[in-house]
Amino acid sequence: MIPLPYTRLHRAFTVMVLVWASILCLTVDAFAQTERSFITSTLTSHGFVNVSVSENEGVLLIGYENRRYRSEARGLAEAIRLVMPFMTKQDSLIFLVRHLGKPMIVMQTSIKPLRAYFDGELSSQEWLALTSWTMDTNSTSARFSDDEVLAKPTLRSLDIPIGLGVRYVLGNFGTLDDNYRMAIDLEPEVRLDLPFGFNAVARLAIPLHNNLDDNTHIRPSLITLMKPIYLRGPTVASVQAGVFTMNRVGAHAQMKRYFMDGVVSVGLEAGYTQYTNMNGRVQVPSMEESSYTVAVLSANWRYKPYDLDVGISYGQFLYQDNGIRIDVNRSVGDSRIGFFAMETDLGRNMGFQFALAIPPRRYAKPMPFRVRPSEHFNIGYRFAAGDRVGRMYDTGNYYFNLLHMYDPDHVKRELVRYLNP
Amino acid sequence: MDAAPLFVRLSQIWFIVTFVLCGPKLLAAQSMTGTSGLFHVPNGYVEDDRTLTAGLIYIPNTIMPNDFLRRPIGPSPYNALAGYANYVFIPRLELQFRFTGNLGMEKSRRDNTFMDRAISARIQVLRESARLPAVVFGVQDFGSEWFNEESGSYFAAHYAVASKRFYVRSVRLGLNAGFAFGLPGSKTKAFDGIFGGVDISPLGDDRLQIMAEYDSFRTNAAVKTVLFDHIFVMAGLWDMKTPAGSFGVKFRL
Repeated sequence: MIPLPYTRLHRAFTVMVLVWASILCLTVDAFAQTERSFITSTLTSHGFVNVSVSENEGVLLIGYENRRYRSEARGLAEAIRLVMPFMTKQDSLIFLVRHLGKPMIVMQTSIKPLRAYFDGELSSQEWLALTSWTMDTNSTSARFSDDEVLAKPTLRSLDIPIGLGVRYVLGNFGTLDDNYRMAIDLEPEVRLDLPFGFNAVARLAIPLHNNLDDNTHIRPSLITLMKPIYLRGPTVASVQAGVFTMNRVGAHAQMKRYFMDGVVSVGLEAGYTQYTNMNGRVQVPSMEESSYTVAVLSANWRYKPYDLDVGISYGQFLYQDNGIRIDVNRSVGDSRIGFFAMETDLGRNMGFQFALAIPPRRYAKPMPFRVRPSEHFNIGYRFAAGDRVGRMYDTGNYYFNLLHMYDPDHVKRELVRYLNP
Repeated sequence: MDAAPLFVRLSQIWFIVTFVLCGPKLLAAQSMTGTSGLFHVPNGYVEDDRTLTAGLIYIPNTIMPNDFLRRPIGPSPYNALAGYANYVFIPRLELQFRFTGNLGMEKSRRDNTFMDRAISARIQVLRESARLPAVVFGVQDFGSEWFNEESGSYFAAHYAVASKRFYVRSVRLGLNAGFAFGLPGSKTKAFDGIFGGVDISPLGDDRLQIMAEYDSFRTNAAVKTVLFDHIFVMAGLWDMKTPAGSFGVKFRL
């Protein structure tokens, strides 16, 4: 083969091609960068926080945290609707939903069926059948590049939901005039994202009405530092320390592993606490002033068509009573309704527990300082009041307490309500 | 003001509210126990999944259990008011919490009981079909039994009840029959043995129901209406002589 003469013209042409190729690459990259920044600014201007957008081989990865809507499903529906106009050349879309900065759930969809759903060519069920969902967020989190910058990070913001705390008993009270007694506290709360993946929760109790006990003064009801721990596979864990409810101060750890695509889960929790009078006075101090260790093993079965959880726990509860507790809970929209029964060394009890969604469904846009109503009003009833059977303190661990809200089947079912084409 | 025109005017208002403002999608109303039923006796139906009902029941003193005031014989001197919340937790399973208190009782009296809590559950084991009736198995006021406090189970009952509806032109006719029985270690009190009743809906739905029943102790009759799909009102005669009634709201979560 005779080599072509390397002429000056040839060299000039080569240089020109290289220059044009470089310009083209830079333009395409700049266009992609611009597109990503458009998506980021669209989401943040709508009120989403902790937003990150990256693209990898035709797959657009969007991470966000919803602090605008009470329902995570509605948050996801709004996010999908907002990014759809930007989906021009990507093949698929992945959403990583965060809560308090922690990844909770991943949804992946191809663009074609999503567009077909919006065009009315596919039903919601047909489109959802083509999506994939998981609570195992490790692999998706790893796909965001390390230098990915979070837009509107929540590290610098202060969110203060205000809830109501109600304690009451129904019954006969001997020398008292009423056949029910009640204490109502206003409970403003601060939830903070801290560096290194830590979260802090502090809750104040401001009495509004009380004919039940001696806690008629303003007091802290919860001060907790929490650190979620990421383990391999569908396993979630966390440790927390601080002042818990029921006058306990100490440390507590929880772990839960999911099996069979989230239908079954097994959990373990253990803690060591001492008495504190920081969050109120107790009726019988001598019963409370000991140090207590709790260790509870639990298993949960989820019946997905009804968003129904049936749980059984066995172990040593707060007042060192060994026994068993059965919980049946059902998610209904943004609310949760359930009942329980327990039998331990100290006796039996049963009752119900509600976490009722509080209006509004949409909050003001997140700001450095924002006050809003709490998402839920929690209220329960124990048939035998004032007992010590199967008691457990609340550590304020939102990461664990809200896991059911991020169950893929629950979010899918709710998503249909909000994502009308 | 003459009473007759006032009665006519009130009747007109009632008819307008019932027949014009109420939509076709109606919900059945609760019985005096707070669960689905006729006046006092339960029926074989359970509301739709996730239906929440809350209401108040006025119970005349002659009907209150004798032992509510820990008196062995004789009726209670006090009428009572019961508040309840009823929820269909999963399809076919209805759960209820009820709180009953005496009305007009001197608060200085401390030698007796003046309130009562009751937990009840009903499960529909058979849905109504063209040939078969709806069948429900229910346990009423079982909380105290679980705590081995028999004295607290004033309204306890365990029963199976079947209901079937027929249409004669546009009129709906409902037949209900049940049997209440004791279980090992717990008595049935509110109903005991055979009970049943008929309900007639002249409009073919729950906007208006006329009921007559035998609750295994006495015969009762009542009228029930549902307003605006969500509000129900019931008034009746207990033992065909003592007025009693209830009202409540109902909606689906």
